[in-house]
Amino acid sequence: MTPPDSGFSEWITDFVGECSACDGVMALLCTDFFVPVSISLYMLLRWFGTGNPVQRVKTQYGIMCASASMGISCGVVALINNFVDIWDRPFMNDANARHAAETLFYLPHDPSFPANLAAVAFAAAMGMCIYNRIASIPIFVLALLWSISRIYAGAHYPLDILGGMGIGIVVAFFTHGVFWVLKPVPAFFHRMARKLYLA
Amino acid sequence: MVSINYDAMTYLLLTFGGCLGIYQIGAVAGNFKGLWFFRKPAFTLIGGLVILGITYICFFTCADLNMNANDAAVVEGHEQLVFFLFGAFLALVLTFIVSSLVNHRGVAQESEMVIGEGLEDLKTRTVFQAATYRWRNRKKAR
Repeated sequence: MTPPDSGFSEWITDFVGECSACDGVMALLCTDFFVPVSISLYMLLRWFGTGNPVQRVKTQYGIMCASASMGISCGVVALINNFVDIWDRPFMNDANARHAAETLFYLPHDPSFPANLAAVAFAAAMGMCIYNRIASIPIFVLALLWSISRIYAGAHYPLDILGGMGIGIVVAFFTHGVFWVLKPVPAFFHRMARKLYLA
Repeated sequence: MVSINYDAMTYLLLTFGGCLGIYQIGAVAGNFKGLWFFRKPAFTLIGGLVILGITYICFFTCADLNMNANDAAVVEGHEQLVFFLFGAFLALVLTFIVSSLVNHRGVAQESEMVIGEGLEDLKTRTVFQAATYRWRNRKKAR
């Protein structure tokens, strides 16, 4: 089965090979390492790099929410993948997408829908956004670039990305709700971090 | 026999170098003088940017390191988390040690010091000095 947006995937993957600079940038963005490491380092920078104590505590709660949301969204996607495998990856159905995936990426074996990367990245972005909107902008940008690069590389359909994004955003709000209900738990971890000069 | 996963070790080095640079940039941005590797903020910031830049350039442009070669998922998602946390921890320990050595004479006047506020203490003391002060005054704190 192919999703209704498979035509878009065929169209966009047709550009691979046209511009070597674009391919180079997309190959870097779509790796399993560049964006997740960058998001994590950015959150670490915000954790330590805020001088105002009140603002710092708020940002640190945002980072705790973002980190927890990343973990939970990863688990949710793994759970869904155990029961649902709606359609194959784009490179299984289309020659252009296969060429794109072989050129820029590799051929993953896990289900296409929902996209784990979108769930994780948008969970981080939304988790941060709930506590500090301005600080979340770079994470949203990185999440978006990562998602686009995976579509360009023929690894996901846009619907996979939208599905993952939806899961990530819902999970972030859920995590925020859990943080609100179980206030003493994140407060305890924050207090412990403060004792170790980490917060 | 102990087997070493070289891809995982490469990823660990990437996170270690990245975190080391980020701690210095963050310490300057947050004015945590007790974490600086140099006594001047400009040098500390440049030092942090250089460490971060070199780490990124080495790991994402050198094909031999496999961080940019998409031939397989060399480090799985859960492994990435574990290695990132371990790399961040190692970088933090090194930051605490080096900054405590570099700033062993103190970074602020006694009257300016803040004590018992966690990271806020590091605006005026090194980790070693703040921990020592807390240990000596533990009875008063109770």
